[in-house]
Amino acid sequence: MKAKTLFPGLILVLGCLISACQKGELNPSQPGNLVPLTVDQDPSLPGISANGTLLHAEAFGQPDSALLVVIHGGPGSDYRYLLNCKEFAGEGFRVVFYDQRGSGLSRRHPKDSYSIELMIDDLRAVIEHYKTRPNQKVFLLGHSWGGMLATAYINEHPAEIDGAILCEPGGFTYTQIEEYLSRSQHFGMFSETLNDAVYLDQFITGKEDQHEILDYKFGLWAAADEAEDSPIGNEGPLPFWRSGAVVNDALFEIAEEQGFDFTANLSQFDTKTLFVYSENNTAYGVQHAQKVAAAYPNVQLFRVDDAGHDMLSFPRGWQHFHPVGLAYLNSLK
Amino acid sequence: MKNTIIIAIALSGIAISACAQTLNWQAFQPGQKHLVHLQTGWDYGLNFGLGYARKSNTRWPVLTSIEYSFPAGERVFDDFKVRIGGQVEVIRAGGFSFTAKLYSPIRRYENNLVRLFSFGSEFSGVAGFYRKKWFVAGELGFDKAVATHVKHPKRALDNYPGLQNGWYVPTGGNWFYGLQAGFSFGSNDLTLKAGNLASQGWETAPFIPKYVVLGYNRRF
Repeated sequence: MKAKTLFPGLILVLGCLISACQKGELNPSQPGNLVPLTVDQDPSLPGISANGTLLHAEAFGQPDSALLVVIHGGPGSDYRYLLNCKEFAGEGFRVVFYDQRGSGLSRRHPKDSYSIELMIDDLRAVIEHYKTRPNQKVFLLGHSWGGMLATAYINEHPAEIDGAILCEPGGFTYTQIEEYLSRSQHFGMFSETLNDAVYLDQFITGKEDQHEILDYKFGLWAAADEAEDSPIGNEGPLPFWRSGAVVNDALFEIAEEQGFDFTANLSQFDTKTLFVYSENNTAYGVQHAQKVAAAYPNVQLFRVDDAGHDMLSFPRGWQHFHPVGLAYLNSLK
Repeated sequence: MKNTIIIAIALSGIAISACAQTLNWQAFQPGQKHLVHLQTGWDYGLNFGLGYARKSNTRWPVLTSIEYSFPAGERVFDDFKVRIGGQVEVIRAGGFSFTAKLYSPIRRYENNLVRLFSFGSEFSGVAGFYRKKWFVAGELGFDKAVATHVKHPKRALDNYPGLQNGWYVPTGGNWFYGLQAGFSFGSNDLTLKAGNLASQGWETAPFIPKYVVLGYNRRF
Protein backbone atom coordinates (compact mmCIF):
# COMPACT_ATOMS: atom_id res chain seq x y z
CA MET A 1 0.00 0.00 0.00
CA LYS A 2 1.38 3.41 -0.90
CA ALA A 3 2.18 5.83 1.87
CA LYS A 4 -0.28 8.42 0.60
CA THR A 5 -3.16 6.00 1.23
CA LEU A 6 -1.66 4.17 4.20
CA PHE A 7 -1.23 7.18 6.45
CA PRO A 8 -4.67 8.76 5.95
CA GLY A 9 -6.09 5.29 6.54
CA LEU A 10 -4.26 4.99 9.83
CA ILE A 11 -5.44 8.42 10.86
CA LEU A 12 -9.03 7.51 10.02
CA VAL A 13 -8.73 4.42 12.22
CA LEU A 14 -7.29 6.56 14.99
CA GLY A 15 -10.13 9.04 14.63
CA CYS A 16 -12.70 6.28 14.92
CA LEU A 17 -10.93 4.91 17.99
CA ILE A 18 -10.88 8.29 19.69
CA SER A 19 -14.52 8.94 18.82
CA ALA A 20 -15.36 5.60 20.39
CA CYS A 21 -13.44 6.68 23.48
CA GLN A 22 -15.69 9.69 23.91
CA LYS A 23 -18.53 7.66 25.35
CA GLY A 24 -18.36 8.27 29.06
CA GLU A 25 -15.34 10.56 28.92
CA LEU A 26 -14.00 11.67 32.28
CA ASN A 27 -12.74 15.05 33.39
CA PRO A 28 -9.35 14.87 35.18
CA SER A 29 -10.14 18.12 37.03
CA GLN A 30 -13.37 16.76 38.49
CA PRO A 31 -12.83 16.36 42.26
CA GLY A 32 -13.07 12.72 43.24
CA ASN A 33 -12.20 11.17 39.87
CA LEU A 34 -8.46 10.80 40.39
CA VAL A 35 -7.94 12.09 43.92
CA PRO A 36 -10.25 12.14 46.94
CA LEU A 37 -12.19 15.21 48.02
CA THR A 38 -10.61 17.59 50.51
CA VAL A 39 -12.09 18.61 53.85
CA ASP A 40 -13.69 21.75 52.35
CA GLN A 41 -15.34 19.65 49.62
CA ASP A 42 -16.52 16.80 51.85
CA PRO A 43 -18.00 17.91 55.20
CA SER A 44 -18.03 14.32 56.48
CA LEU A 45 -14.23 14.39 56.84
CA PRO A 46 -12.82 15.22 60.27
CA GLY A 47 -11.30 18.67 60.24
CA ILE A 48 -10.54 21.85 62.10
CA SER A 49 -10.52 25.50 61.18
CA ALA A 50 -7.11 26.93 62.02
CA ASN A 51 -5.08 29.98 61.00
CA GLY A 52 -7.44 30.87 58.20
CA THR A 53 -7.68 27.48 56.55
CA LEU A 54 -9.43 24.14 56.91
CA LEU A 55 -7.21 21.26 57.92
CA HIS A 56 -7.99 17.58 57.77
CA ALA A 57 -7.28 16.59 61.38
CA GLU A 58 -8.26 14.22 64.14
CA ALA A 59 -7.12 13.36 67.64
CA PHE A 60 -7.15 10.20 69.73
CA GLY A 61 -6.78 9.66 73.47
CA GLN A 62 -7.95 11.63 76.49
CA PRO A 63 -8.21 15.36 75.73
CA ASP A 64 -6.36 16.31 78.94
CA SER A 65 -3.41 13.95 78.35
CA ALA A 66 -0.07 15.24 77.14
CA LEU A 67 -0.34 16.25 73.47
CA LEU A 68 1.67 14.37 70.88
CA VAL A 69 1.37 16.19 67.57
CA VAL A 70 2.33 14.01 64.63
CA ILE A 71 3.77 15.95 61.68
CA HIS A 72 3.95 14.26 58.30
CA GLY A 73 6.63 14.56 55.65
CA GLY A 74 6.74 15.81 52.09
CA PRO A 75 6.15 18.67 51.99
CA GLY A 76 2.89 17.53 50.49
CA SER A 77 2.39 14.06 51.97
CA ASP A 78 -0.36 13.27 54.47
CA TYR A 79 -0.68 11.60 57.85
CA ARG A 80 -2.16 8.32 56.65
CA TYR A 81 1.24 6.63 56.60
CA LEU A 82 1.86 7.61 60.23
CA LEU A 83 -1.31 6.15 61.72
CA ASN A 84 0.71 3.54 63.63
CA CYS A 85 1.40 6.41 66.04
CA LYS A 86 -2.24 6.12 67.12
CA GLU A 87 -0.94 3.42 69.47
CA PHE A 88 0.40 6.14 71.78
CA ALA A 89 -3.23 7.19 72.42
CA GLY A 90 -3.71 4.03 74.45
CA GLU A 91 -0.56 4.77 76.39
CA GLY A 92 -1.50 8.04 78.02
CA PHE A 93 -1.13 10.56 75.21
CA ARG A 94 -3.52 12.70 73.22
CA VAL A 95 -2.29 11.94 69.70
CA VAL A 96 -3.06 14.66 67.16
CA PHE A 97 -2.81 14.07 63.41
CA TYR A 98 -3.26 16.78 60.80
CA ASP A 99 -2.65 17.16 57.10
CA GLN A 100 -0.67 20.32 56.55
CA ARG A 101 -2.13 23.19 54.55
CA GLY A 102 -2.33 22.19 50.88
CA SER A 103 -1.49 18.57 51.70
CA GLY A 104 -3.49 15.36 52.04
CA LEU A 105 -7.16 16.15 52.50
CA SER A 106 -6.65 19.70 53.76
CA ARG A 107 -7.76 22.73 51.76
CA ARG A 108 -5.71 23.82 48.72
CA HIS A 109 -4.43 27.39 48.34
CA PRO A 110 -2.71 29.39 45.59
CA LYS A 111 0.97 28.68 45.18
CA ASP A 112 2.11 32.19 46.07
CA SER A 113 0.33 32.05 49.44
CA TYR A 114 2.60 29.37 50.95
CA SER A 115 5.60 30.09 53.13
CA ILE A 116 7.57 28.22 55.76
CA GLU A 117 6.43 30.79 58.33
CA LEU A 118 2.82 30.01 57.46
CA MET A 119 3.41 26.30 58.04
CA ILE A 120 4.90 27.13 61.46
CA ASP A 121 1.89 29.33 62.30
CA ASP A 122 -0.46 26.52 61.23
CA LEU A 123 1.30 24.11 63.58
CA ARG A 124 0.92 26.60 66.41
CA ALA A 125 -2.79 26.95 65.61
CA VAL A 126 -3.21 23.17 65.65
CA ILE A 127 -1.55 22.95 69.08
CA GLU A 128 -3.74 25.75 70.39
CA HIS A 129 -6.84 24.06 69.00
CA TYR A 130 -6.24 20.80 70.84
CA LYS A 131 -4.73 22.18 74.05
CA THR A 132 -7.23 22.00 76.88
CA ARG A 133 -5.19 23.58 79.67
CA PRO A 134 -2.24 25.99 79.81
CA ASN A 135 0.23 23.60 81.46
CA GLN A 136 -0.59 20.64 79.21
CA LYS A 137 2.65 19.19 77.92
CA VAL A 138 3.24 19.27 74.17
CA PHE A 139 5.44 16.81 72.28
CA LEU A 140 6.17 16.86 68.56
CA LEU A 141 6.79 13.80 66.44
CA GLY A 142 7.99 14.79 62.99
CA HIS A 143 8.91 12.50 60.14
CA SER A 144 11.19 13.65 57.30
CA TRP A 145 9.97 17.15 56.30
CA GLY A 146 7.77 16.92 59.42
CA GLY A 147 10.94 16.69 61.51
CA MET A 148 12.22 19.81 59.79
CA LEU A 149 8.96 21.65 60.46
CA ALA A 150 9.02 20.52 64.09
CA THR A 151 12.57 21.90 64.37
CA ALA A 152 11.59 25.17 62.70
CA TYR A 153 8.84 25.46 65.30
CA ILE A 154 11.16 24.68 68.22
CA ASN A 155 13.67 27.17 66.82
CA GLU A 156 11.02 29.89 67.04
CA HIS A 157 9.24 28.76 70.20
CA PRO A 158 11.71 26.70 72.24
CA ALA A 159 9.83 27.21 75.52
CA GLU A 160 6.54 25.86 74.16
CA ILE A 161 7.64 22.30 73.44
CA ASP A 162 8.37 19.63 76.06
CA GLY A 163 10.06 17.07 73.83
CA ALA A 164 10.52 16.06 70.21
CA ILE A 165 10.98 12.88 68.22
CA LEU A 166 12.57 13.61 64.86
CA CYS A 167 12.68 10.82 62.30
CA GLU A 168 15.17 11.35 59.47
CA PRO A 169 14.63 15.06 58.87
CA GLY A 170 16.45 15.82 55.64
CA GLY A 171 18.33 18.70 57.22
CA PHE A 172 17.90 21.87 59.22
CA THR A 173 19.75 24.04 56.71
CA TYR A 174 19.42 24.21 52.95
CA THR A 175 22.94 22.87 52.52
CA GLN A 176 22.08 19.74 54.49
CA ILE A 177 18.94 19.20 52.43
CA GLU A 178 20.86 19.53 49.19
CA GLU A 179 23.34 16.94 50.39
CA TYR A 180 20.64 14.51 51.41
CA LEU A 181 18.52 14.91 48.27
CA SER A 182 21.55 14.42 46.05
CA ARG A 183 21.83 10.93 47.55
CA SER A 184 18.17 10.00 48.14
CA GLN A 185 16.98 11.04 44.68
CA HIS A 186 19.90 9.71 42.73
CA PHE A 187 18.77 7.33 40.01
CA GLY A 188 20.76 6.02 37.08
CA MET A 189 20.24 7.60 33.66
CA PHE A 190 19.16 4.22 32.24
CA SER A 191 16.92 3.26 35.17
CA GLU A 192 13.23 2.51 34.93
CA THR A 193 12.64 4.70 37.97
CA LEU A 194 14.04 7.89 36.46
CA ASN A 195 12.44 7.34 33.10
CA ASP A 196 9.07 6.53 34.69
CA ALA A 197 9.25 9.80 36.58
CA VAL A 198 10.02 12.00 33.59
CA TYR A 199 8.16 10.15 30.79
CA LEU A 200 4.89 10.84 32.60
CA ASP A 201 5.19 14.55 31.80
CA GLN A 202 3.93 14.09 28.26
CA PHE A 203 0.69 12.45 29.44
CA ILE A 204 -0.47 14.62 32.31
CA THR A 205 0.06 18.33 32.85
CA GLY A 206 -1.83 20.92 34.81
CA LYS A 207 -1.95 24.62 35.50
CA GLU A 208 -1.06 25.94 38.94
CA ASP A 209 -4.68 26.00 40.06
CA GLN A 210 -5.56 22.53 38.72
CA HIS A 211 -4.87 20.84 42.04
CA GLU A 212 -6.67 17.59 41.19
CA ILE A 213 -4.46 16.95 38.18
CA LEU A 214 -1.23 18.09 39.79
CA ASP A 215 -1.88 16.15 43.01
CA TYR A 216 -2.70 12.98 41.08
CA LYS A 217 0.46 13.24 39.02
CA PHE A 218 2.55 13.94 42.12
CA GLY A 219 1.06 10.83 43.72
CA LEU A 220 2.12 8.74 40.73
CA TRP A 221 5.71 9.84 41.31
CA ALA A 222 5.51 8.16 44.73
CA ALA A 223 6.10 4.90 42.87
CA ALA A 224 9.77 5.95 42.69
CA ASP A 225 10.15 5.59 46.46
CA GLU A 226 9.29 1.91 46.36
CA ALA A 227 11.51 1.08 43.40
CA GLU A 228 14.19 -1.53 43.88
CA ASP A 229 16.92 0.98 43.07
CA SER A 230 15.63 3.57 45.52
CA PRO A 231 18.21 4.14 48.25
CA ILE A 232 15.65 4.98 50.94
CA GLY A 233 15.11 1.30 51.76
CA ASN A 234 11.36 1.05 52.36
CA GLU A 235 9.73 -2.38 52.71
CA GLY A 236 6.94 -1.57 50.24
CA PRO A 237 4.45 1.05 49.09
CA LEU A 238 3.22 3.66 51.53
CA PRO A 239 -0.51 4.29 51.95
CA PHE A 240 -1.56 7.88 51.24
CA TRP A 241 -4.74 9.85 50.72
CA ARG A 242 -3.68 12.64 48.41
CA SER A 243 -0.43 14.36 47.62
CA GLY A 244 -0.07 18.13 47.71
CA ALA A 245 1.82 19.06 44.55
CA VAL A 246 1.51 22.83 44.75
CA VAL A 247 2.61 23.21 48.37
CA ASN A 248 5.55 20.91 47.66
CA ASP A 249 6.58 22.97 44.67
CA ALA A 250 6.07 26.25 46.50
CA LEU A 251 8.14 25.31 49.56
CA PHE A 252 10.96 23.82 47.49
CA GLU A 253 11.06 26.98 45.39
CA ILE A 254 11.25 29.12 48.53
CA ALA A 255 14.03 26.95 49.92
CA GLU A 256 16.00 27.15 46.68
CA GLU A 257 15.58 30.89 46.30
CA GLN A 258 15.91 32.01 49.91
CA GLY A 259 17.59 29.12 51.70
CA PHE A 260 16.74 28.43 55.34
CA ASP A 261 18.40 27.78 58.67
CA PHE A 262 16.29 26.39 61.50
CA THR A 263 19.17 26.13 63.97
CA ALA A 264 19.81 29.66 65.25
CA ASN A 265 17.96 29.25 68.57
CA LEU A 266 18.11 25.49 69.07
CA SER A 267 20.79 25.93 71.71
CA GLN A 268 18.02 27.24 73.96
CA PHE A 269 16.19 23.93 73.74
CA ASP A 270 18.04 21.83 76.30
CA THR A 271 15.35 19.18 76.62
CA LYS A 272 16.50 15.81 75.33
CA THR A 273 15.49 15.19 71.70
CA LEU A 274 15.03 11.69 70.29
CA PHE A 275 16.64 11.64 66.83
CA VAL A 276 15.76 8.56 64.80
CA TYR A 277 17.32 7.22 61.62
CA SER A 278 16.99 3.91 59.82
CA GLU A 279 19.34 1.10 58.99
CA ASN A 280 18.24 0.62 55.38
CA ASN A 281 18.12 4.19 54.10
CA THR A 282 21.57 4.29 52.58
CA ALA A 283 21.14 7.94 51.62
CA TYR A 284 20.89 8.93 55.28
CA GLY A 285 23.16 6.89 57.55
CA VAL A 286 24.77 7.65 60.86
CA GLN A 287 27.06 10.36 59.52
CA HIS A 288 24.23 12.48 58.18
CA ALA A 289 22.19 11.77 61.30
CA GLN A 290 25.03 13.02 63.52
CA LYS A 291 25.57 16.07 61.36
CA VAL A 292 21.90 17.10 61.40
CA ALA A 293 21.29 16.21 65.05
CA ALA A 294 24.31 18.23 66.16
CA ALA A 295 22.18 21.38 66.11
CA TYR A 296 20.40 20.16 69.24
CA PRO A 297 22.34 20.42 72.50
CA ASN A 298 20.86 17.29 74.07
CA VAL A 299 20.21 14.39 71.70
CA GLN A 300 19.49 10.68 71.96
CA LEU A 301 20.40 9.14 68.63
CA PHE A 302 18.57 5.92 67.79
CA ARG A 303 18.89 3.68 64.74
CA VAL A 304 15.80 1.68 63.75
CA ASP A 305 17.10 -1.63 62.47
CA ASP A 306 15.55 -3.55 59.61
CA ALA A 307 13.70 -0.49 58.29
CA GLY A 308 14.02 2.29 55.73
CA HIS A 309 13.14 5.99 55.61
CA ASP A 310 9.47 5.39 56.47
CA MET A 311 10.37 3.37 59.53
CA LEU A 312 7.17 4.21 61.40
CA SER A 313 4.90 2.82 58.68
CA PHE A 314 5.94 -0.80 58.35
CA PRO A 315 5.69 -3.57 60.96
CA ARG A 316 9.39 -4.25 61.48
CA GLY A 317 10.36 -0.61 61.85
CA TRP A 318 7.43 0.16 64.10
CA GLN A 319 8.21 -2.79 66.38
CA HIS A 320 11.75 -1.52 66.81
CA PHE A 321 10.81 2.13 67.20
CA HIS A 322 7.74 1.98 69.42
CA PRO A 323 9.27 0.88 72.75
CA VAL A 324 12.08 3.44 72.42
CA GLY A 325 9.67 6.20 71.44
CA LEU A 326 7.33 5.38 74.31
CA ALA A 327 10.15 5.26 76.85
CA TYR A 328 11.37 8.65 75.64
CA LEU A 329 7.92 10.23 75.87
CA ASN A 330 7.25 8.71 79.30
CA SER A 331 10.56 10.04 80.58
CA LEU A 332 9.43 13.59 79.83
CA LYS A 333 5.72 13.29 80.49
CA MET B 1 -14.00 18.26 24.01
CA LYS B 2 -15.28 15.84 21.42
CA ASN B 3 -15.09 18.58 18.81
CA THR B 4 -11.50 19.29 19.80
CA ILE B 5 -10.52 15.71 19.14
CA ILE B 6 -12.34 15.49 15.85
CA ILE B 7 -10.72 18.72 14.64
CA ALA B 8 -7.30 17.48 15.77
CA ILE B 9 -7.76 14.23 13.91
CA ALA B 10 -9.04 15.95 10.80
CA LEU B 11 -6.03 18.26 10.80
CA SER B 12 -3.79 15.25 11.29
CA GLY B 13 -5.33 13.67 8.22
CA ILE B 14 -4.62 16.76 6.17
CA ALA B 15 -1.06 16.87 7.44
CA ILE B 16 -0.55 13.29 6.54
CA SER B 17 -0.89 14.30 2.94
CA ALA B 18 1.52 16.94 3.85
CA CYS B 19 5.09 15.56 6.28
CA ALA B 20 8.47 14.74 9.97
CA GLN B 21 11.96 14.14 11.31
CA THR B 22 14.67 16.69 11.67
CA LEU B 23 15.83 17.02 8.10
CA ASN B 24 17.38 19.17 5.42
CA TRP B 25 15.05 19.49 2.43
CA GLN B 26 17.85 20.78 0.21
CA ALA B 27 19.98 17.69 0.82
CA PHE B 28 17.49 15.42 -0.96
CA GLN B 29 18.99 14.32 -4.26
CA PRO B 30 16.97 13.62 -7.41
CA GLY B 31 15.31 10.24 -7.20
CA GLN B 32 15.55 10.00 -3.43
CA LYS B 33 12.11 9.35 -1.99
CA HIS B 34 12.75 7.39 1.18
CA LEU B 35 14.38 8.10 4.47
CA VAL B 36 15.16 5.93 7.48
CA HIS B 37 15.88 7.61 10.74
CA LEU B 38 17.60 6.74 14.02
CA GLN B 39 17.65 8.97 17.05
CA THR B 40 18.66 9.09 20.68
CA GLY B 41 18.69 11.75 23.33
CA TRP B 42 16.80 13.27 26.18
CA ASP B 43 13.15 13.86 25.38
CA TYR B 44 10.99 13.14 28.47
CA GLY B 45 13.67 10.64 29.49
CA LEU B 46 16.55 8.96 27.75
CA ASN B 47 15.02 7.87 24.45
CA PHE B 48 15.85 5.68 21.51
CA GLY B 49 13.88 5.79 18.29
CA LEU B 50 13.67 4.79 14.67
CA GLY B 51 11.44 5.82 11.84
CA TYR B 52 10.64 5.71 8.18
CA ALA B 53 9.54 8.56 5.93
CA ARG B 54 8.54 8.97 2.31
CA LYS B 55 8.94 12.14 0.29
CA SER B 56 6.30 13.19 -2.21
CA ASN B 57 7.08 15.65 -4.97
CA THR B 58 3.88 17.63 -4.88
CA ARG B 59 3.59 21.40 -5.31
CA TRP B 60 4.97 21.73 -1.82
CA PRO B 61 7.49 19.06 -0.76
CA VAL B 62 5.88 16.68 1.67
CA LEU B 63 7.35 14.02 3.95
CA THR B 64 5.01 11.51 5.57
CA SER B 65 6.46 9.43 8.34
CA ILE B 66 6.02 6.93 11.11
CA GLU B 67 8.31 6.81 14.14
CA TYR B 68 8.66 4.55 17.15
CA SER B 69 10.57 5.52 20.26
CA PHE B 70 10.94 4.21 23.78
CA PRO B 71 12.65 5.39 26.95
CA ALA B 72 15.45 3.59 28.78
CA GLY B 73 14.58 1.31 31.67
CA GLU B 74 14.55 -2.32 32.68
CA ARG B 75 11.05 -2.84 31.27
CA VAL B 76 11.55 -2.09 27.59
CA PHE B 77 8.02 -2.33 26.21
CA ASP B 78 5.90 -0.78 28.95
CA ASP B 79 6.46 2.80 27.75
CA PHE B 80 6.59 3.93 24.13
CA LYS B 81 5.54 6.54 21.62
CA VAL B 82 4.49 6.08 18.01
CA ARG B 83 4.18 9.23 15.93
CA ILE B 84 2.36 9.20 12.63
CA GLY B 85 2.21 12.35 10.57
CA GLY B 86 4.16 14.54 8.34
CA GLN B 87 5.77 17.81 7.43
CA VAL B 88 5.45 20.13 4.50
CA GLU B 89 7.83 22.81 3.35
CA VAL B 90 5.43 25.69 2.82
CA ILE B 91 7.93 28.50 2.16
CA ARG B 92 11.26 28.45 0.43
CA ALA B 93 12.96 31.70 -0.48
CA GLY B 94 16.61 31.41 -1.33
CA GLY B 95 18.20 29.65 1.64
CA PHE B 96 15.27 30.42 3.94
CA SER B 97 12.71 27.71 4.55
CA PHE B 98 9.63 27.31 6.72
CA THR B 99 8.23 23.83 7.43
CA ALA B 100 4.94 23.00 9.12
CA LYS B 101 4.68 19.68 10.97
CA LEU B 102 1.72 17.78 12.28
CA TYR B 103 1.74 14.42 14.00
CA SER B 104 -0.56 12.15 15.94
CA PRO B 105 1.41 10.69 18.82
CA ILE B 106 0.16 7.46 20.36
CA ARG B 107 1.74 6.86 23.76
CA ARG B 108 1.80 4.24 26.46
CA TYR B 109 3.07 4.52 30.02
CA GLU B 110 3.07 2.13 32.95
CA ASN B 111 4.36 2.19 36.49
CA ASN B 112 3.27 0.43 39.70
CA LEU B 113 0.29 2.74 40.17
CA VAL B 114 -1.19 3.28 36.72
CA ARG B 115 -1.27 2.34 33.05
CA LEU B 116 -1.87 5.16 30.56
CA PHE B 117 -2.64 4.96 26.86
CA SER B 118 -2.95 8.24 25.05
CA PHE B 119 -3.83 9.73 21.68
CA GLY B 120 -2.49 13.17 20.96
CA SER B 121 -1.79 15.90 18.46
CA GLU B 122 1.51 17.64 17.87
CA PHE B 123 1.80 20.83 15.85
CA SER B 124 5.05 22.66 15.17
CA GLY B 125 6.82 25.02 12.83
CA VAL B 126 10.48 25.09 11.85
CA ALA B 127 12.12 28.08 10.20
CA GLY B 128 15.74 28.56 9.28
CA PHE B 129 18.51 28.66 6.72
CA TYR B 130 19.27 25.62 4.65
CA ARG B 131 22.14 24.75 2.33
CA LYS B 132 22.89 21.45 0.62
CA LYS B 133 25.41 20.42 3.30
CA TRP B 134 24.09 22.11 6.44
CA PHE B 135 21.17 23.87 8.04
CA VAL B 136 20.32 25.75 11.20
CA ALA B 137 16.76 26.49 12.29
CA GLY B 138 14.47 27.31 15.16
CA GLU B 139 11.34 25.38 16.11
CA LEU B 140 8.22 26.04 18.14
CA GLY B 141 5.47 23.52 18.76
CA PHE B 142 2.74 22.19 20.99
CA ASP B 143 2.18 18.56 21.93
CA LYS B 144 -1.25 17.79 23.35
CA ALA B 145 -2.42 14.60 25.07
CA VAL B 146 -5.96 14.78 23.71
CA ALA B 147 -7.48 11.62 25.19
CA THR B 148 -5.86 9.30 27.70
CA HIS B 149 -7.13 5.96 28.94
CA VAL B 150 -6.30 5.54 32.62
CA LYS B 151 -6.28 2.09 34.19
CA HIS B 152 -5.33 1.52 37.81
CA PRO B 153 -4.12 -1.75 39.29
CA LYS B 154 -5.72 -3.20 42.42
CA ARG B 155 -3.14 -1.73 44.75
CA ALA B 156 -3.93 1.82 43.57
CA LEU B 157 -7.66 1.13 43.99
CA ASP B 158 -6.98 -0.25 47.46
CA ASN B 159 -5.29 3.04 48.30
CA TYR B 160 -8.19 5.13 46.92
CA PRO B 161 -11.29 3.10 45.97
CA GLY B 162 -12.89 6.13 44.31
CA LEU B 163 -10.37 6.14 41.46
CA GLN B 164 -12.17 6.20 38.12
CA ASN B 165 -10.74 4.12 35.29
CA GLY B 166 -11.58 5.25 31.77
CA TRP B 167 -10.96 7.87 29.12
CA TYR B 168 -9.91 11.28 30.35
CA VAL B 169 -10.21 14.23 27.97
CA PRO B 170 -7.86 16.10 27.80
CA THR B 171 -4.99 15.35 30.17
CA GLY B 172 -2.49 18.00 29.23
CA GLY B 173 -0.04 19.40 26.78
CA ASN B 174 3.43 20.87 26.53
CA TRP B 175 5.06 23.59 24.48
CA PHE B 176 8.50 22.98 23.06
CA TYR B 177 10.87 25.47 21.50
CA GLY B 178 14.50 25.33 20.56
CA LEU B 179 17.13 25.17 17.87
CA GLN B 180 18.11 22.46 15.43
CA ALA B 181 21.04 22.04 13.10
CA GLY B 182 22.39 19.41 10.76
CA PHE B 183 25.23 18.34 8.56
CA SER B 184 24.72 16.35 5.35
CA PHE B 185 27.21 14.15 3.54
CA GLY B 186 26.38 11.86 0.61
CA SER B 187 23.00 10.34 1.40
CA ASN B 188 23.37 10.86 5.13
CA ASP B 189 22.34 13.57 7.58
CA LEU B 190 23.49 14.07 11.16
CA THR B 191 21.13 16.30 13.09
CA LEU B 192 20.96 17.79 16.55
CA LYS B 193 18.07 19.59 18.18
CA ALA B 194 17.81 21.04 21.66
CA GLY B 195 15.40 23.23 23.52
CA ASN B 196 13.03 23.83 26.38
CA LEU B 197 9.68 22.42 27.45
CA ALA B 198 6.86 24.25 29.23
CA SER B 199 3.47 22.97 30.21
CA GLN B 200 0.26 24.24 28.67
CA GLY B 201 -0.46 27.67 30.13
CA TRP B 202 3.28 28.25 30.71
CA GLU B 203 2.70 28.12 34.52
CA THR B 204 4.31 24.78 35.25
CA ALA B 205 7.08 22.77 33.63
CA PRO B 206 7.97 19.14 33.11
CA PHE B 207 10.25 17.50 35.67
CA ILE B 208 13.26 18.11 33.43
CA PRO B 209 12.16 20.86 31.03
CA LYS B 210 14.81 20.29 28.36
CA TYR B 211 15.27 18.16 25.29
CA VAL B 212 18.39 17.24 23.35
CA VAL B 213 18.08 14.77 20.49
CA LEU B 214 20.77 13.50 18.15
CA GLY B 215 19.52 12.02 14.88
CA TYR B 216 20.82 10.19 11.84
CA ASN B 217 18.99 10.03 8.49
CA ARG B 218 19.77 7.83 5.53
CA ARG B 219 18.16 8.87 2.26
CA PHE B 220 17.63 6.52 -0.69
